[in-house]
Amino acid sequence: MNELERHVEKLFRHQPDTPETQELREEILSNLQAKREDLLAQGMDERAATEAAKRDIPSVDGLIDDQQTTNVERYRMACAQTVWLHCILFWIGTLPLLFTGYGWLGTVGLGLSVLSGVGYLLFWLLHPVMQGTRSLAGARRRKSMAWRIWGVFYAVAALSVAAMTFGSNLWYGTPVTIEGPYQWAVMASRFYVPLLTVLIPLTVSRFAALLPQYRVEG
Amino acid sequence: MEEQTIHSDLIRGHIDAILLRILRDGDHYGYGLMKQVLTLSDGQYELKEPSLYTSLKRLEKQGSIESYWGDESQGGRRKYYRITPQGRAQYDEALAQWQWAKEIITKLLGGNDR
Repeated sequence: MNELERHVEKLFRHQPDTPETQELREEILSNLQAKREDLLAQGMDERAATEAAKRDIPSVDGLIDDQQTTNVERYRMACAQTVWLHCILFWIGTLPLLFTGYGWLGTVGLGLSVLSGVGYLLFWLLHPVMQGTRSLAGARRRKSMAWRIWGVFYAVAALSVAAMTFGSNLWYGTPVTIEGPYQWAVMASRFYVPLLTVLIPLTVSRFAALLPQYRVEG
Repeated sequence: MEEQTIHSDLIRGHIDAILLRILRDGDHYGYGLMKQVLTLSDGQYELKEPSLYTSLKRLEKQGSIESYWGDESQGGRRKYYRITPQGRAQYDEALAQWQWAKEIITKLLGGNDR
């Protein structure tokens, strides 16, 4: 794969794989190649010609129909299933906490799993046939937003836990003492509990990944 | 470069008609059209690729142009565009409108006084 092919590959990385986007991709690549050859023929060196061709088309977002006709009913069901699955994962994730002060989170996990399971079942029973348009770029934006917020949240949470746990040791210059495996587990659990919230951005990511699969051709 | 950015707003609204004019004289693929715009404007106006694709897509949707793939053996296949009778009519219309507007704007801006 040459550099222009890589560039075009990158431009289309987050675009849905449809006949139209494939055609546009082939068209853009052949035009960039033609431009590069033309610049080379005019005496430009290889490096500069490739860069000049790439510079002209920094993004294809505006060129692709972002509004996707979507089978909303099946898409929502897939999303509900994801939520259910992630609630179960959360519950499983809380199991190691049973013998720490966070044991109650297991109950929360179980409750969420049952609730989202019932929700999914209801969707499945009364799914109204529905079609609508959904924005692909919007789904991608929500995904990156969710990850950014979560990243900040976890950084703050981990730092404050660290400050709480080791703050006095730093302040008074005393060594950190961990008395045995139970203490270890307690300390680790403080970092682990906020980490479990990673399932939230994972859910939003999954929503974005599912959307192109429920495209309706038409 | 800056000069071109100022002027390009005036030109942008006419890109469809410019492309139709070029296609009236023969079929072209994307880069060929861009080169032709540069040549016809004596190197003063460079059509950017995003505007090119947006315009081509719109014209094709309207039925003013049609596309077909070339049979290049090496390099990527090229997508060529051909003008339709409707495209020719659209071009004539655009040209007539431009001549009318040009006359009025010249009068209104007092371009003939100087």
